[in-house]
Formats: sequence, C-alpha cells, structure tokens
Amino acid sequence: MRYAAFAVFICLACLPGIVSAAETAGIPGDADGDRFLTDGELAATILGYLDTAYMGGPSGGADQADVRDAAFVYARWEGRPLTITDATGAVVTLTAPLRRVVVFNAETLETLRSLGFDPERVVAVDKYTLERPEFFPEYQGKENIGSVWSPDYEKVLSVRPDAVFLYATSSSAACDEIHQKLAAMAPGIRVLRFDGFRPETYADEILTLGKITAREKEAEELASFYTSVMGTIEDTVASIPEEERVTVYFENWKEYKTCGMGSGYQDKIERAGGRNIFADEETDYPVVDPEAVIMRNPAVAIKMVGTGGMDFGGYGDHASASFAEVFRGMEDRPGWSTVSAVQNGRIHIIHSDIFGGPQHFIGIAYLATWFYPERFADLDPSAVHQRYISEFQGRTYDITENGIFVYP
Amino acid sequence: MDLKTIGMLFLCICAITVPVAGAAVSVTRTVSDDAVPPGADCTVTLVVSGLEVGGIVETLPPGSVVTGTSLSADRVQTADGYLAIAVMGEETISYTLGVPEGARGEITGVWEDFLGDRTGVITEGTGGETGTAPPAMQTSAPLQDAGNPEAPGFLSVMALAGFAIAALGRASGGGRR
Repeated sequence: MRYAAFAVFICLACLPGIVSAAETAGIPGDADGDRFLTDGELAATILGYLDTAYMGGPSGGADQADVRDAAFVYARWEGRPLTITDATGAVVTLTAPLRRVVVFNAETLETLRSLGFDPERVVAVDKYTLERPEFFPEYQGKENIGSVWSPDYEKVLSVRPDAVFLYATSSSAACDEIHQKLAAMAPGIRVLRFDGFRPETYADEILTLGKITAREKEAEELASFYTSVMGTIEDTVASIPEEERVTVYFENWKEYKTCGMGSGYQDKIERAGGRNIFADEETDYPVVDPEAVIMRNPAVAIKMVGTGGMDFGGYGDHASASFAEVFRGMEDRPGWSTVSAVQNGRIHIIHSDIFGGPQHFIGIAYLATWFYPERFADLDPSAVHQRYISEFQGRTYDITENGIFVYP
Repeated sequence: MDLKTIGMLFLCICAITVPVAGAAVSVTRTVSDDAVPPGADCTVTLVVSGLEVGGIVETLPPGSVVTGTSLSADRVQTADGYLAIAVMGEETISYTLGVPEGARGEITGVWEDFLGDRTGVITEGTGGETGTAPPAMQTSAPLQDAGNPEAPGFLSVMALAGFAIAALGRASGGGRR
C-alpha cells in the first residue's frame, strides 16, 4: 500500500497542470484579485487574448480557456465565485466552470445528464457506469476510475479533473477516505458530494447541481417534474388514515432479506402509503424467518430484482420470463397460499433501475398504484417513466417495447 | 510557392478545422459610404447577433486608421492594421475608419464566442446607410485609389486569403498562433 501511495505521489509530481481552473488561484481575469470580475477586467482579458491570438501581440496573457472561463463567470455567476453547499453540508466555492469532471456515482451522472451537462466534460466514470452501456452509451470509452470501494487514484489524477463527484451519505467511510486523500494529493480539485437517490434530499440536489453547471432552468424543470409526482403521492397518502394503510412485505433479490427501520426502502414504502411489516427491525436489511412473513400476513408483497443473483431485467433486457418465474416462485413458497398478498393476487416484481437511484420516484409511483389502485387511478407510472427517459434523459427509448421494469 | 497560393491553402485548412459560425451567432458588416474620397472617414457598422461575450478582430486596409468607435476606449484595441473589440452583449458596434490617400485593401474580420466556444467569419451586410453594399467600399473589395479608378477588385475568397496571409505573417513574427 505504501508503494502504491508513493507511486501515486510520483505521478502527481510529474503531471503538469494538475491544479485546475477551479483552484483557489481566483477568477480568470480578476486582475486585482478582489474576487469580482468587472466589465473592465473582462474586456482587458479578452483584448489581451485577441492581441496574442490574432494580432501578433506578445504571449503571456490569458489563453483561450481562461477567456472562456472568465466569460462564463461574468455572464453566469455575475462576475463572482459560485458558492454552494453540497449534500454533506460542505461549502464549496468555484471560481471557474467545471470542464473536466470525474464522477464516482452513476446517480449523479444520471442527474447531470438530465440537466444537459455536456458529456464531453465528463472525463472519467466509475466501473459500474461502464458496465451499463444500454443506459449510459455516451460514456462508454471514458476513463475508468474504479469505484468508491476500489478507487484508482492514479487514474483520477491523470485525467486532470477540476471536480470529483462522490456520494454524500452512501458508502460514507469509503467516500470520506477518497475525499481526504484527494484533498491531500491535489487541493485544487473540488470534491462535490451528492447521493442522487434519497427522496428527502433529491430535489435540493437537483437544484444545486443546476447552479454548479449553470443549468438552472433545466434543474427547475426536473425538480418540478419530480416534486409534482412525489407531491401527488404524498398528498393522497396523507389523506389515508394510518390504520387503513396496506401492510407490505418487501424483499430484495435474496430470499427473505427485507428492509428494516431507517432503511431507504422502508422510507419509500412509507412514502407510497405502505406499512412495512418489518419496520420494527432495527437492522437496515435483515434476513427474516419465513414463518414471520406468513404470520404477519402482508396484503402486498414486493420483490425487487436487478442485482445480485437476480441481475436481469431493466433497460438492457426485455424478456419477462425471468420475472414470471420469480413471481410463480413466490406464489409457490411453502405456506404462502395463506398469505393475503398471494390470495388476492398482490405480488409485484419491481426492478432496481426504477426503485433506486434518481428514478426512485418512478418506483414509488408504481408502489402507490399497487397499494391503492383506486386512489391513484389517475397516476400512470409508465407515462411518468417514459417522460423521464424521453424528456429529461434525452433518450429515444420506448419503455413499452424495450426493457422490463415491473411484473405483472 | 507565392503568397496567393499559400493563402488559398491556408483558407482551405481553416475551412476544414475552424468551426463555421453556428446559427445562433452572426456578425455582419456594412460600410456607410459609396466611394470614399482619400483622406476622408467612413463608418463601419457591425451588427452582432447572439454574441453575449465574445471577441471581434477586424483586419483593416493598410494605412487606414481607426479614428473612433461607439464603444469606450477600454473595449477596443488597435495595432498595426487590426482592430480588436471586446463584445459584451452589444448588438451594434460602429467605428470610423480614416482612409489615407492611395490606400488599397479590404476589411475582413473574425469573431469568437467565448460562451459558446465557437468562432466564425464576419460577413457582408446587405445595407449601410445607403441601403446597399456600395461597390467602391465593399467589405471584401479594395478601396478605390482616386488616382487609379480602373484598379481591379478582389473576390471575397481572396479577401479571406488576404486576412489569412496577414495573420500568418503576424503569427510568424511571435504571436500566439
């Protein structure tokens, strides 16, 4: 490990220009260093560049990249640095637009895409993004920086990023370590942390990312769409008395591995108006006794696939056979014939693509319609899904003909 | 190889490598007067569209002098046959050009969009104060020498090549490009 760290240090020492435009050096063109780019300072920067580039003037002034950054700060940030608070509560100041970003989490990458952030400015992504060519085709071929659990620091530094995106609260120990190491190795790299999958913070994260990327209009549109769907669900659920809320058994890909209090899935079930029959479990994702499920007799059973031993379905796979097999398997579990969910045909399979990540609101919409079909008769989760894919992700992907996300 | 050929080759290279102005940005030039008497001034007007923050560089006929602009002094810079302009949202920019006796040449120009990361060439407008592009003072035609009214004009492509040659010449003298 020491040798690896030493090798990284040597790479850092050898790489030119490792400190980026977003560094503490200030706003490009801010001649007096007062962190305010005036009309006069911008004009001087432009003229100095034009003189060198076109008029045979002396070199040494602002180059084209500096002028473009100065123009951006002047026009989009009113001549001042942009200060934002990321999802960890950290205050981060930018003195130039982001032009070379490394993204460790696909959730942030997907959100950036919704905002129309230029994919050319993403210089490296994590390995799991590269394993999803059907969903992230334009990022294939980008440099691979590993994952938050196995980061390739050498690669990160080699692509000369001005910003690195990490999770805020997920895998926090791993992300904290990456954050600290980057701060030590290359203080000029801004570390920005967002989760991209938590209902309680996602709308705010969208708006902050919009500010960072100067895509505020797009961010407002996405946040508005997101909050309108979630708000519709929230308002309807609020009108349902607690004692009338449907009981739900949730299971991830592993049999009898459910979700307990404090888990993200528990939160999503509640937002959709469900009552998790294992909400009293203190562990986030406990493995429960099969008999306990039968005893607690859920009205609805939700099975999530798409990961682990059930890595099928989603955007890259539109064969429903695997989903049907899982469905029948649940129906046929010993003793389950007495469970209300089986007796009333209320077993549902959902893919992790639309239950985790930025698309969690689509999954919550599906849950709401399954829990209360009459109350949510006007909510069409597949239409919400298609609009998200077409309008915000900019993909020509018809979800009625491609992929499989829910069953039946 | 003569300068004309070099200029043509350079123009071809520019056509391949330099992005053509996007639909959202245009800069056109009109000149105020028909045949400009030697020693008099003319007004050159640039109509700018879609250039929120950018730069313009006009290459001026040899010997001509910029005697005034519609912008403040800190927004323009002149040097040896060039006029550089820092554009910050203006839609119309004008400058007066003094035409010395015996002057021959053409005005050509380029723009850069620093927010859109694009570059382009200034094109000829379809009307000045007279409403039409005056033949004796066209943006891609030579200034008329009062002593030689039969002096031939240049094609637009030669004007661009002329700019390119001038730029190449300046660049070889130590400029960034």
